[in-house]
Amino acid sequence: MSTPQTVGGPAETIPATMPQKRVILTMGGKGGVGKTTFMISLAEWLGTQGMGFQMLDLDVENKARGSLKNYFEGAATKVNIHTPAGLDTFIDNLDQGPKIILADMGAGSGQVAHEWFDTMYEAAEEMGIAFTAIGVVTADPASVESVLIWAKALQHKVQYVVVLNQAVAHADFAYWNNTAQAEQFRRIFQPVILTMKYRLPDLENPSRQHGATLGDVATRRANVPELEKSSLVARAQGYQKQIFQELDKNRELFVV
Amino acid sequence: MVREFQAVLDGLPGKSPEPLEEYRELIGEMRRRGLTYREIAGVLADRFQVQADLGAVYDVLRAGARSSRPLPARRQVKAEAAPAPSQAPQPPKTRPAPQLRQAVQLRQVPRMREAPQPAHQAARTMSAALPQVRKVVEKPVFEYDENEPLRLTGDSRSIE
Repeated sequence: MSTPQTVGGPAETIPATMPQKRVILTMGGKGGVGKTTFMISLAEWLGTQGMGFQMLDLDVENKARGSLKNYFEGAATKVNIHTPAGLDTFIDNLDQGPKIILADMGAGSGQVAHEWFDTMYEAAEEMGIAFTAIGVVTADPASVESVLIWAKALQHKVQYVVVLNQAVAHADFAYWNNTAQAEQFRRIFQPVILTMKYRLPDLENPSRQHGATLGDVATRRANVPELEKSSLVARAQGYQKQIFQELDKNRELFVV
Repeated sequence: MVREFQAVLDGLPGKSPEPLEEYRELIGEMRRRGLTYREIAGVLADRFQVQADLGAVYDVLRAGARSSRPLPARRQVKAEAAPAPSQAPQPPKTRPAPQLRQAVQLRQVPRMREAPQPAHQAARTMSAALPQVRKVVEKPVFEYDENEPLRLTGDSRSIE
């Protein structure tokens, strides 16, 4: 614990704290943009890094198919953040468990998250916790607005990663690329930009329906007949390789 | 107030008057000068023997920011000396996770030899001294008006 500084004493610099723990959270807001889809891939990638992590499913409104818990039954813990302690679960879990938390925030979590960062961020930082905030953007301008609203609240408290999700075959990210507000965000925060390639509905829909990850399909562990077609297995392998390569290039934002 | 009434009021749940209220101006100035909440809590402990955790410091600032009214008049300081430790303001009772509370709790600091000053005097006294404490690198603030729709500029067609 550091010693309180006295006024008028010699100038001192407080040593910068190296992150010892990391919370990777999705910036909630717009639903259905692919936040959980990205977090699933991130979880599988972290699994290949030999690094312990814990998954928290904070998406209270996404109760069934689309939630993180649906894909990682038993490994993802569902948490209700709409309590007085709110997101203190970040700190408590990091205190007792792995050094990395994956937190899938879900839509409608903004107010709680922003208030928590206002109150607790500084203390969390002093405990050596770093934050990586994941924003997922599609062609829908509402997805861009969500990222900007969160950034306005979180400012420099987090490192930003923006995932351009090609949710349709020919995705147009005009509202991300060509608006003054998004440009200002990029200039100030210099986020890392990742791309999530378009995935065939033939693969995406049954995967979601049966809670199968890309890794499950790629390694034929899904136990779902329609996901065992060789073409889909090959596509799953390709999608996973692509996203893993992007994560490899920006490893420092996801590990400690 | 009748003592019995005060005792009843003291026993009621709910928010007590902000214990750091009289230091709000000083705290605000220290924040503007780039001190962290921890450093501010340290100053309060050193100079006023006020033990406050980071959340309490934050709370008093937030309460000040929420109010659009001018700052309320500071309480009359009854004596020239600062309150004794037993009378010193205490941090609010509503604190978050115990682990964190333990982590951010400030250590007991020794009293200064000089006579403590009332908060408003100290604010002025410290004004000149604070710049020596820490130099701050200002980071640009991101501003965004969510009521203003996103408007495409220039070449609106772009492919990633």
